[in-house]
Amino acid sequence: MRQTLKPWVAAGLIAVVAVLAGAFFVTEPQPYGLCVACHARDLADGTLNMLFQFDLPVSPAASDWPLLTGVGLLIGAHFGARVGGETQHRAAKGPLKSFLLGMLAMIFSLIALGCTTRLLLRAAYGDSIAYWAVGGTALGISIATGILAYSARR
Amino acid sequence: MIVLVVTLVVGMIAGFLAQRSRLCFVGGLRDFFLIGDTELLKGALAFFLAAWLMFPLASLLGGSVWQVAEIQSPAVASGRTAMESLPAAPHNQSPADSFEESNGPAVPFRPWLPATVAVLAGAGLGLVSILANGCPLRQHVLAAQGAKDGSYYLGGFYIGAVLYHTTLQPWLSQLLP
Repeated sequence: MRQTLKPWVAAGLIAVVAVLAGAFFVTEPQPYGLCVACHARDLADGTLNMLFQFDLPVSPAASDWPLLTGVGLLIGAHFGARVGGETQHRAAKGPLKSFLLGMLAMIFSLIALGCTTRLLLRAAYGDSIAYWAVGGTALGISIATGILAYSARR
Repeated sequence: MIVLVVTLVVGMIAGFLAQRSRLCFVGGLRDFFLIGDTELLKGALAFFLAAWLMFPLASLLGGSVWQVAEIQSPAVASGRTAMESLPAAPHNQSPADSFEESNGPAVPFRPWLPATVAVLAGAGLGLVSILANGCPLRQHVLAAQGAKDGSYYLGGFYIGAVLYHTTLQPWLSQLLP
């Protein structure tokens, strides 16, 4: 799997696009240009609201139409995988575990008011609470990496 | 309507770039700890720096106003977004609502609460992402590449959003007024 793009180049471009989108279009709870978790919440809640007339909370930016960031991510990534010939049909090794981890990740993201992407955006915006959340994320990563390394050595 | 198109386009660009470069913010720190590889970590830092440079630039270009004064405003300083700071129906309140105009009796002001909640939730997010082998962005990319684990993760992800807002959040906002 050749890595054809340096991560820092890709990250810089994504940040520029996300900030511009957030400043001009997706403006309501600043900064909101790109958040995998919050936009996923808007997509899920907004779609259910439109289909079944529920009253699930969505952010002000999504009050008319649900946000399609998740759909765009899947389309873009699939296109990238096709271009590089990296599509693979891997069977699931732990479906229930992945399902639960996904649910926990969403819940923690919503409590921390952002996924890892938006926490970095908010920290760059100057939101002082985001500094704490990014620090907490680093702490959680360290703990989990330590657990993985320790259990691999046994 | 235009927000719909813009988010779709932003998602497509981000998805393509993230797939071609294996970008993962959580993987950055993990790779650095396990094998001393700094490629993904540089990615996270580049994201932060580029955003940090772009915010004032975007506001100069005519976008949403970004002022230093806004950082000290209570709403932003407490980490609550505009949606979650509305003093509306109880299901719209966020856990860190302590110094907001509330509809109930006066509650003690706990300035340490937003930071503590942020650290704990961030730690949970980091831990879960390592166990799942990727931050949420990377999980979308993996699912699009064909890894079925990523698809199950996304199922839990989206259902978790609905579950959180219907069951957990009202409970939390009563627990931490």
